Amino acid sequence: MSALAAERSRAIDQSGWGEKFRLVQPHNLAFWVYCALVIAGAYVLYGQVSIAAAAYSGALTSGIVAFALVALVYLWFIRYEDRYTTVPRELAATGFVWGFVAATGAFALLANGAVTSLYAKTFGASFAYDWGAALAAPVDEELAKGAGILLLLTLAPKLIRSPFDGLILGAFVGLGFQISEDISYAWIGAADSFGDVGAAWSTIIVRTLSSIPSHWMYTAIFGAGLIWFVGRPDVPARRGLGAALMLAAMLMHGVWDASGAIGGSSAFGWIAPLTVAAVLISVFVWIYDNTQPIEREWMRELMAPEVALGVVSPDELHALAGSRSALKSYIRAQRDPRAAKRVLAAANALAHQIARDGGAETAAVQRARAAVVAARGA
Amino acid sequence: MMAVSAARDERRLLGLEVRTVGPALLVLVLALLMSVVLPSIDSTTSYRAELRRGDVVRLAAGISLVPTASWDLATGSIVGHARSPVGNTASTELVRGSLRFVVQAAPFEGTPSSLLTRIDEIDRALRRARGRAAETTARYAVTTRKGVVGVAEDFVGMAREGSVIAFVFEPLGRSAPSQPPQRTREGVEVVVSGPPDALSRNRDDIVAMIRSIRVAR
Repeated sequence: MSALAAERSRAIDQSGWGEKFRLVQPHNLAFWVYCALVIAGAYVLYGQVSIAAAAYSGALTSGIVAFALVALVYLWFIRYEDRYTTVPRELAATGFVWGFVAATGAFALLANGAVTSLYAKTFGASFAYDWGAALAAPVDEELAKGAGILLLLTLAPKLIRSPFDGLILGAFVGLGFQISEDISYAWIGAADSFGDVGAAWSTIIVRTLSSIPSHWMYTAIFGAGLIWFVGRPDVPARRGLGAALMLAAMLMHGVWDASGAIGGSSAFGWIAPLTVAAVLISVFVWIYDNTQPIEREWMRELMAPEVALGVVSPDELHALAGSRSALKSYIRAQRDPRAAKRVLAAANALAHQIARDGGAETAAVQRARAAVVAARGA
Repeated sequence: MMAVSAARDERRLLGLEVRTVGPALLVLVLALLMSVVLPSIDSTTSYRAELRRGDVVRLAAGISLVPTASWDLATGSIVGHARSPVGNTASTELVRGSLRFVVQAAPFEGTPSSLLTRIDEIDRALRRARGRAAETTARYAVTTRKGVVGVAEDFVGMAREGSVIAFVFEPLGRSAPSQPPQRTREGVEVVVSGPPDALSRNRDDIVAMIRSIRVAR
């Protein structure tokens, strides 16, 4: 085996790229716990949805339609950012379902109510009114969503190989939670306003406008922190950093929920949520920038033999395995940017096919290679 | 070496891979703690911060209620005790033993009678969904100490009975100095429920609290 082929083989092995995800694993206790808690969550949510469908069907339908569209936008964005050794759709869907059903129904709904009530009983209702949500939700909800990432890690240890995978999977789990919560807030908004569907739409607009610094981002940060905390075969554990990120996700969630109490009746009530948004986005970008290099390296090692074969040029590989700005500058610098985009898309498809086939020289790989050549000539 | 670690990964106990038991049990314990243990602790914990004479509960922006001392405030905020502004849509719950006094406030452009009709429609739909039945009495007028007239009806269910009262207040308040004054009228729904004997014993407290609801500048 040549050195390049050996590196390719090592990259596939280390990254878990191309590995298929199978949820049904009867010998894996995580599978049974996942199923049990999704069923328990679905049972609790069914109780809520049946009430909403009976008395607030207009608000419930509005919430489902509006937030399904919001979900599509975020799903596209997360997939768009996951451009190297992409998380399989089945694994992403399993994470989304955990967030949507189990983390809400089997954990957060009951725990949040109980903890907020305990604060009211112990320190008074006014204390709970100000700080109850901020002290209950960040702990309950981040642990509930993080529990899902831990189960996925146990179900797919070969697929979750870097903090970047934790970031992306966390985003899917958090998005599931966020959309489930958004839909419930929509019909609860109507229920609190004597069934007024207009109130549901006010809630939908506010929740959509504030959807960037929200659960998908908290859990993405928590997920990357969890992977750093436990470590992976090729990413040594960094417990301090991992714990700090998980705590940061909880802290930012708490400050967001306490915005009303922090701002009080002052005209500067917007400072706390704006600060949370700025910190969250900065931390997210920092993790993104610092976890991508290993993913890029895997892409470089996987595609290096294709450079030797002359299928892709060194510059194309540099763009393929580079940052998004490197990719954009490469495309812009070409005489025919559209053709360059086509070639890179075909080369990316070739990389995925090579990974899927474990680096073997299969007919599918040869077809994908021919597609690169064809894209160049088209 | 790789064979050894692969063998370690696949070691089984009662048909389950040993490596999967720890994390899966951790998640299961967390779920039980959050969905069973915490609610159980909550249901056996009693209120330590009773309402005192002179406390005023903010029901919504510009609407308040004077609670009877010794009742407990389960949800809501006492004027001067909470930092967060109270908006136009808000819920308040007062409890005393098995008695519940729940207030829902939200903007409503209509009469107290039309508000009660809407509340009845929602209740009927919810009762149908839950398979529960309840009988309601004829409507009667209820007047607050400030002269605002509301509409009420009594209901009798399987385990509880009580009253539903609807008021509509003229706008005056604003939830925070930074926010514009409220323009729409404010609907207030009060639902008092509990076992019949507890309701009769606390009738005076309940009536006093309902009559104390007022627009607060």
